Amino acid sequence: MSVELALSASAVIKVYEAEKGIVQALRGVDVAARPGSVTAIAGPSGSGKSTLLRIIAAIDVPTAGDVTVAGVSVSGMSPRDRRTLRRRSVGYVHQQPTDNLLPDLTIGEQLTLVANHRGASPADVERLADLLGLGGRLSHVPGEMSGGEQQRAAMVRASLGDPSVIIADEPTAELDSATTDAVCELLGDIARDRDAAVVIATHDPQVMQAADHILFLRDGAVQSETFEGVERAVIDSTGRIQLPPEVLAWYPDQRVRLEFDPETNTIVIKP
Amino acid sequence: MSVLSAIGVSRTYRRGPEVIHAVDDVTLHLEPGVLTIIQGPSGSGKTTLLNVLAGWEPPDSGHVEWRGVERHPSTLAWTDLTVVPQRVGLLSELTVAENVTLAARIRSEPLDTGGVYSRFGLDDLEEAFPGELSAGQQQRVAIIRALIDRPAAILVDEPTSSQDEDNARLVLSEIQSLVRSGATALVASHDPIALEFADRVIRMRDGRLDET
Amino acid sequence: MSGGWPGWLAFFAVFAVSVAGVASGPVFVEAVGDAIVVDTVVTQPPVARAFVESFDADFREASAAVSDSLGDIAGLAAGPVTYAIGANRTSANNGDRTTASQVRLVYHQGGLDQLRPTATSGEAGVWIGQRLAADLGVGVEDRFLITDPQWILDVPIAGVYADLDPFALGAFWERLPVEVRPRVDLLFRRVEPELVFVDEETFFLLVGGLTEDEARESSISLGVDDFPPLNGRAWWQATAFGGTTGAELLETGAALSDLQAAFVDPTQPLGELMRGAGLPRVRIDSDLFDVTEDVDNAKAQIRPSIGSVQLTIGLLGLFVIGLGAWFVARRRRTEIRMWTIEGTPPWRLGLQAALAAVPAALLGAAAGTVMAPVLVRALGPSPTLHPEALSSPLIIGVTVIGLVVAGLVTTLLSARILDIERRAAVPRWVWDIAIYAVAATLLAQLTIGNPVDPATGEVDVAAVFFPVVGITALVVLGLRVVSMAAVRWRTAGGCLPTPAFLAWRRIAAALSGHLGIVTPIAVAIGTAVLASSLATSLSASLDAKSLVQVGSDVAVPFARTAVTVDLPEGYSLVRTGTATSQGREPVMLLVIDPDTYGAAVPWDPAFGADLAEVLELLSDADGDRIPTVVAGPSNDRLPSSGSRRTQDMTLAYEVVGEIEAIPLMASRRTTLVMRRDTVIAWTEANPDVSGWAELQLEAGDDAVEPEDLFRALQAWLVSTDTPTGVADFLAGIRQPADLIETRSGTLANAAFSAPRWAFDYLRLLALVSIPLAIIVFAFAVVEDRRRMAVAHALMRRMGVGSRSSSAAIGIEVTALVAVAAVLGMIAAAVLSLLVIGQFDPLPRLLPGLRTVIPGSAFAVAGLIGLLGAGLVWWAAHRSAARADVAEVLRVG
Repeated sequence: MSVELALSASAVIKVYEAEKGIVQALRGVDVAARPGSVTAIAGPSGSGKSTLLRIIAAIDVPTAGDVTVAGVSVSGMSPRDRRTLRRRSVGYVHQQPTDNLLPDLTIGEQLTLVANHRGASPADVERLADLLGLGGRLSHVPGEMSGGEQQRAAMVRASLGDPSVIIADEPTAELDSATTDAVCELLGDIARDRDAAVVIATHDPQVMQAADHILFLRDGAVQSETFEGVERAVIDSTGRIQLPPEVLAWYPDQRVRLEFDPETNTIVIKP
Repeated sequence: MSVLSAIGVSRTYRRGPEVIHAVDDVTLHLEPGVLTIIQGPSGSGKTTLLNVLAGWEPPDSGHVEWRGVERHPSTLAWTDLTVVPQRVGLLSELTVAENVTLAARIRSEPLDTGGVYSRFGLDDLEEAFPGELSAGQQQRVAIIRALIDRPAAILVDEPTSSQDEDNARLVLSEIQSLVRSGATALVASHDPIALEFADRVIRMRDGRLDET
Repeated sequence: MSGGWPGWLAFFAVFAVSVAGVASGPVFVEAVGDAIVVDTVVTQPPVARAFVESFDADFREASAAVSDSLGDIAGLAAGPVTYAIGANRTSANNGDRTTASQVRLVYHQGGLDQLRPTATSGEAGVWIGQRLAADLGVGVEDRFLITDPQWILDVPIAGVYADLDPFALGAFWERLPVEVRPRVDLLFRRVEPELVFVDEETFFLLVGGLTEDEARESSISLGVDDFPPLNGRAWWQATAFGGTTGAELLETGAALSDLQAAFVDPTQPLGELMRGAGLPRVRIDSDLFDVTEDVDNAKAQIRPSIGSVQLTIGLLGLFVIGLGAWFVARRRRTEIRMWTIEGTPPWRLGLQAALAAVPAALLGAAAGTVMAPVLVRALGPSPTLHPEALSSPLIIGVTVIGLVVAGLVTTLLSARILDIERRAAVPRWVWDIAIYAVAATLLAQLTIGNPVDPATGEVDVAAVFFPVVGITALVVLGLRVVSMAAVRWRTAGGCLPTPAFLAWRRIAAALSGHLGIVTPIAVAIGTAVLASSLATSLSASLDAKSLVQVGSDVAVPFARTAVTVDLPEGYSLVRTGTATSQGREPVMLLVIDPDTYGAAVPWDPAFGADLAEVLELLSDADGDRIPTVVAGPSNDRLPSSGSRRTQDMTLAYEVVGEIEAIPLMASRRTTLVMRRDTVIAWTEANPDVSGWAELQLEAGDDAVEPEDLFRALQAWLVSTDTPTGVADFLAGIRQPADLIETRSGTLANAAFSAPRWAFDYLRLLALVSIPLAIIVFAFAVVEDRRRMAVAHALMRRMGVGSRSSSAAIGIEVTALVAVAAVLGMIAAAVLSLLVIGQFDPLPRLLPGLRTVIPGSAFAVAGLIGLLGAGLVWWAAHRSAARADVAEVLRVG
């Protein structure tokens, strides 16, 4: 496992104009992921998960902030360079199985097309397919496969070549729990096999359990992070901490006193 | 006696060179006052069973019974059996209220929708068109449409796929409410929340049923 | 990256129409050439003629060679050979009596057998006509002299023939070369020339064309010893013309040109032969050469107009290809997005799209290439197909550009695919403003400039574009209005019965949302109707203008002014002249004969009043002044009453009415129209004012006919008879027929025909596009039905019967097509009334352009629309019935 980060984003802000007005999708988000790790980004819809994913996949550029993928800074890149970056270093799995696979070609054919595109070899296709349990399915078209198999095929696709980051947008949303289990197991396998950082947007607790590292997003900012099972609130670059809403309710006037207890190394929050 | 039953139903179809046994000799009785949850891999199996029970496709062998009498489900009135497919199927040119009351309109019966919209969190959306609603809101409208005529049986495919936790519970409790009044419901869902409302849970694997 | 089979079909259709439209241009030009040729009447078959130095054996060989060469040309057969001697001052003399007429000694092949002898001696000699015999006082077996300042020929008379009637020569004698054909000399009132006929051997004997041996062996003894130089030696080789089709005429003309060149080229065997025979300058005369020139001119003139139509169709086709590519790319946007996220550059995706479209494009181009000559033939100035005029570079060019456009559009969409959800779409009103701006610009260009070049008939590109763009602008505007109304009553109709209720909602939804579904049909129907109106108005106007130009279907300037001629039904005499007044501009005078005018001139409503009305007004004489109707540009300076002078007559007139135009008026000149009977009556009643008294004084004892009044005016014979009929009539009254003018001949002129053909063509293509638009509409509806399959299945489960559902679809489809058709027709009607006046191809010729909106266009467009709606209903119904809901639910 290399020490260098596969992905690093700091103070990412994304503001864009939609039909209904100006939307602040991300208000200063920090993400870091090491190669071989599985990171989950969780949060309700509208929290900015999809936006964040698009930015770290180099599909969109941040309005402000710095994003580095595979050691290359994404902010300020031209669309052409971002395309090249995506081709070389990013794998993407969409939420809908139909968005990941071409309906008219067999799995084997499609994956070979993508392999050629990304500089991988047909042998890679077979190996990864085996790794993800799709060994005998390469001659089938997507319509002949179950949803779980389709998503696994999508993951093969995203892993071809030499991606530093493999990104999946709610990949288990349309799957049942047994299949989700299976897919979650494979996430770790893929991360390790490809030496890539796997980043998943999800609201599925099963997936979160399978991740090494969870980021909780709410309203475009990181509410808390869970690392190795421990959930911690995040202090953002302006020194603010996002408190969970139920805790916030205890302090209606939003004024608190902080007491630092040096013995236990804790800060107590008092009204 | 059961309201709606599948008796020895089998259904296969072709996908290219393969013959897939979507439903393999399934016998299932839906009793009044019982909310049945059916789980299984997404795709063909349980959807096909629902299709057969709904009358969208005929079984290759076996038959469907309504109140003990063999019957093709497509001949059933909406007040007997309502369906909520996964693809919601609202008519985009009708308002929400018109979608909901369409069946009643055809029967030339007045329908009191009461406070149902606000119960489902759809305040002030009655005169809106489905295109203006989010996926979750559309799904709830379809649920309302299926429940409002108080059918004897209701078939639902993944009612909570676009709902957040609170609304998922809301939808399931409304279905449960109908069931408590004597109807029967078959709900296909892999949402763990659904299990809280189930009277009976069935698994479908490789076209066959497994009671858990 | 395919578009599914509707995509293929759409691309195929658009490529087919674009290629057909563009490729048919040159074919159309050829057809026009054909039409001109077919209309051409070859009055004079080719004749080879030359002056001869000597009629010797070499000459005879050369003559035979010419005869053979002409006979070899397709469509020609060698006709009679003619030899002659004699010139202007050659005459006949018998002692003290001399003919005043010119005399020619002529051998005309087969001629002697055609003469009707009145006396014959049976001996050798020459044949003279009765008139000449009487003039000279000679008869058979006498001799007389043919004299010329340079020579004298003493010849015996072998026979006397009945004179040829110059007005009724008959088919055989019509073929006499024009130089020796008898005609009536109007000045001296005698027949010129007098022809002295001989047989071939006698001729050669007389002119010294035989060798000594041949002369000795000759059985003819003429008692002629001397062979003085004989001038006016001439020879003609006539031909009989058998070609009928335009292509053959042109071929024959070309072959003749080559032959002509060969005759005078000494390096060629024929030319050498001619020179050796003393015929270095053999000339072939034929109006076939004119025909070739006419055809080339006509084609050159119409080419730019056709080019405009080609360009318009090409651009429109490319636009639709772009639209189609956009649609297909939108349908495949998931795939495009996927590849873009994978890092594929947009140009690669565009290239893939273009390549995927290649089969459809090639098939479409092939179909279009086949369609083009057929279309031209259907429209056709000429029923002959001209596939050889198809230009492969053009076809390949259009196809390639079409593919490039498809690729470019896909590239553009791919480049934006990742942004599409974020960026707000270009608001609709921007597109609207754009189309209004383009339409306004074209309209301005039309109004300021002249859409049709009056000199060449060339139609401006803007003029051809404008119908489509203008209709689109109006349709878009109309649809916006309808859309706003639709949004308002989107939620109405709640109390209708179920099928109507459902249909109402669908219609309102369709009309208040994307208008793409309805616009193509509306634009196609509107353009077809507008182009029809343009074509019909132009045609009617050109008919009227040609009528004014010529005077009637057939018109001849009449040489006899003071003789009452018995005119058959359908003939009339019209008098024209200039009338002046002190210090004022001269006006034109036109006198018509009320009894015969109506039958002889097809009156056109474009002239501005009913003929019966006009004649009525003109008869209202109160004795003081001659009632007059003024035709032509309103001349404010013309007093409503006054007097004008034509040569020796003064006429006092009073204006009783105005019309826009009258046949034979000078264009752009005020014309005073009067009735012949009222003019005569008035001059007789006012002899001093009019100058009638003076005339009578002048004439003295000779009777002065009322017709003499019109002596100073030009008389025109006008008729609705055929040109041949008129020619016959003229022959019957012994008037020359060479100045006949026909309306059809004028209409064939490119300045008249080019704009009409251009818009006829546009109309045809617009009509072809209506079914296409309906097919696209059908696809959209069927696609929609599939998308809504689940919703409709549930609807039926809720109790909407299949009949209700079918009725709802029917109402919806019919209403949408009806809205489209009505909008299109209204737009066309509005535009017709607004702009057709601009399209006057000959603004200086009266009458001006009259807007004619043909009811048939509406009927045809409406019918096609109705049939289309029926087709769509059937397709939608079938597709809805067959939708496998289970499959849809399963596959998703």
